[in-house]
Amino acid sequence: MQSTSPQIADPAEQLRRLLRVADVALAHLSPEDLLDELLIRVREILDADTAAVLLLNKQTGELVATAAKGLEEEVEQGVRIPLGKGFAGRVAAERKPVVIGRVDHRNVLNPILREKGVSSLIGVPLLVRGEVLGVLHVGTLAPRTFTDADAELLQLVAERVALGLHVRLYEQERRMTETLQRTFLPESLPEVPGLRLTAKYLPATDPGIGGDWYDVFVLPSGAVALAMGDVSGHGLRAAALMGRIRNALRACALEVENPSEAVDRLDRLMELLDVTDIVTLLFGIVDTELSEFRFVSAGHVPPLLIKPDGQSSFADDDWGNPPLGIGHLHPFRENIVPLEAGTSLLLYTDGLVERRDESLSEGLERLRGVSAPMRLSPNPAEAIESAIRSLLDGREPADDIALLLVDLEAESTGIDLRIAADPAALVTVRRAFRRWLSDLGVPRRVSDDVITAVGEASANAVEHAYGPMGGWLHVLASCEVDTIQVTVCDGGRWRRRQSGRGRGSTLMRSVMDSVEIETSDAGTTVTMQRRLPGR
Amino acid sequence: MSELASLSLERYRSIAVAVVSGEIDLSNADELRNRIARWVINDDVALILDFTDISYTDSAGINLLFDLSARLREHGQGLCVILPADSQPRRTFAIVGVEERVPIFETAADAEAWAGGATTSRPPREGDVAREG
Repeated sequence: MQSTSPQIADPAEQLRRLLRVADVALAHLSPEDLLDELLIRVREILDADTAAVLLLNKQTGELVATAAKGLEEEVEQGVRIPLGKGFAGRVAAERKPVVIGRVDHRNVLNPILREKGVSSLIGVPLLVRGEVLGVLHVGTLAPRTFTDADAELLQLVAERVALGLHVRLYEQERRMTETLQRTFLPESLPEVPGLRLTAKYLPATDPGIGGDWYDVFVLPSGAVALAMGDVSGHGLRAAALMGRIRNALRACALEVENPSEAVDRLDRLMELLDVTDIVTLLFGIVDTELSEFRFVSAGHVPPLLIKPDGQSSFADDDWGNPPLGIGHLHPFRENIVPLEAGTSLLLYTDGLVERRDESLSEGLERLRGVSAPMRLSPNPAEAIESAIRSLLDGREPADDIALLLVDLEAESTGIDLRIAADPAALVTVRRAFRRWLSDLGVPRRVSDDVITAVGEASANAVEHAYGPMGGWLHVLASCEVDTIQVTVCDGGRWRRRQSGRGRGSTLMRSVMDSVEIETSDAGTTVTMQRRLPGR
Repeated sequence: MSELASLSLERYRSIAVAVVSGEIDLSNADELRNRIARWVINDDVALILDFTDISYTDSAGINLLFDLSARLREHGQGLCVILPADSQPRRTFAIVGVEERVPIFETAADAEAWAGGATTSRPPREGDVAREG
């Protein structure tokens, strides 16, 4: 005999049932536990025997059994129902409640439902913002007529379930995105004497994670490589692609002599990297010793130079190279821009300057207009944000925005360098001294001598002060009237194992006017002086 | 753009030549020494280190030079260096008396003339083979 829903006419009972699924205590449960608890409750309040949730796999178009009460086999066996087929498939396709009074083989695809002897079924779609996430259905072993009130109640539960699942999926995607972001954006920017680097990445509000990326790394020669790129497309796939391109570019840059060769190599690799998107790239080397920026633009927006006199101009790109990966007749060609002390260099992506209602050149002109306060700002991150705010002018960013601001110190007044005591640090120390001594107008010969002495003192610290765990090196230098004063400190004790150490001290004493080496438990300090000629 | 120093290895008749440009310090001296040492073969009468385009060296570069010099001497092979007069490496070498152990020339022609002359003072080859063992 056919039963109807219990106490359907009683409004108080209907309210009680509603409160069971709206229970605030459920808010504290994890998404998995919430799903379980809601299935238990829905089975109870509808006096049903089975309750199950199937989630839609968008790639395969199948509904996959994810949680069930009274039908646990369904989950264990991983039941999959194609969209539009069978009972659950029909609920998902029609996006509305479906009731089956008496189950027969023609309208139920799931063998477990048949084997269990389920007689009646009601199913509702799990919807978030009109998108079907899956299906919730309950069933009874005895034949039963589900009412509109049952359908409404079940739809309410479905909303709750959908929301919980949506939060969980969103959470997963957000976590994955963050992990991926770490693969295409540097975790920290390198410390480079004479340069200050500031980066900003602003994802677009709507399509989510987008195709912009940047990279900064110090080459073995001590010069600094900068990359700013833009992959057409959004989402996890674009993010993964950016990660691959970033790594490939690093590898290419280490093996060649100049930026254009590196970009040529990367371009040839694009096919291997399986890239079909349009990728623009600006790649260049800042060499503070040569005071120049050598760069290649592969279809990217031009770098902006902000000069000490407050004038800003876009670096000339004489070549108009195409984006990467589209095949081209000529090798990528590069430009060389002189960088005077106190200049700032801005690399960015087109999201910063493009608006739907105006041309690119208008956007570039607006950027030029707001750029001056970014140069050598006491708070560069705030200056960048302020420039972005005024460019967006209250709009939400339609595309990702990435910016890299490189400030060249106005003039080096001295040296205060604290770095890891590593052999690779030695070239960094030499570069800092070359630039400073050149700013001071010290003759080449004297400059060579000071660098020889500083090099030996630093090499001693690197080679002899620490064990395998390494340590730090602190180099200070100033010019007092006519004397250059240099201090090199470490936190270890020089081991007197190697014969070369005596040679280092001989060199220091020969090229400097005075050398003092103090060793204590706290470390070794070398203090040296060199008088400047004719001052 | 990427390497601190670059190395090109050549051979003229029985003279091995290593042309190094860039900078030599603790970070690359060992690798340079090993690559240069591997280039020299038994038939070579001498090795010329062309340091014309070296802009800087620290004592690791001096160690490299003395180490190569000692190895080659064991095999009766000569070693000389090409270095311009007014350069940081030349002054650095002068301070520690490199020239007392290794001849330094300002031009390739002078270095090659010296290295060619080293042939006559070269001891028998059998000894070399035995020593290499």
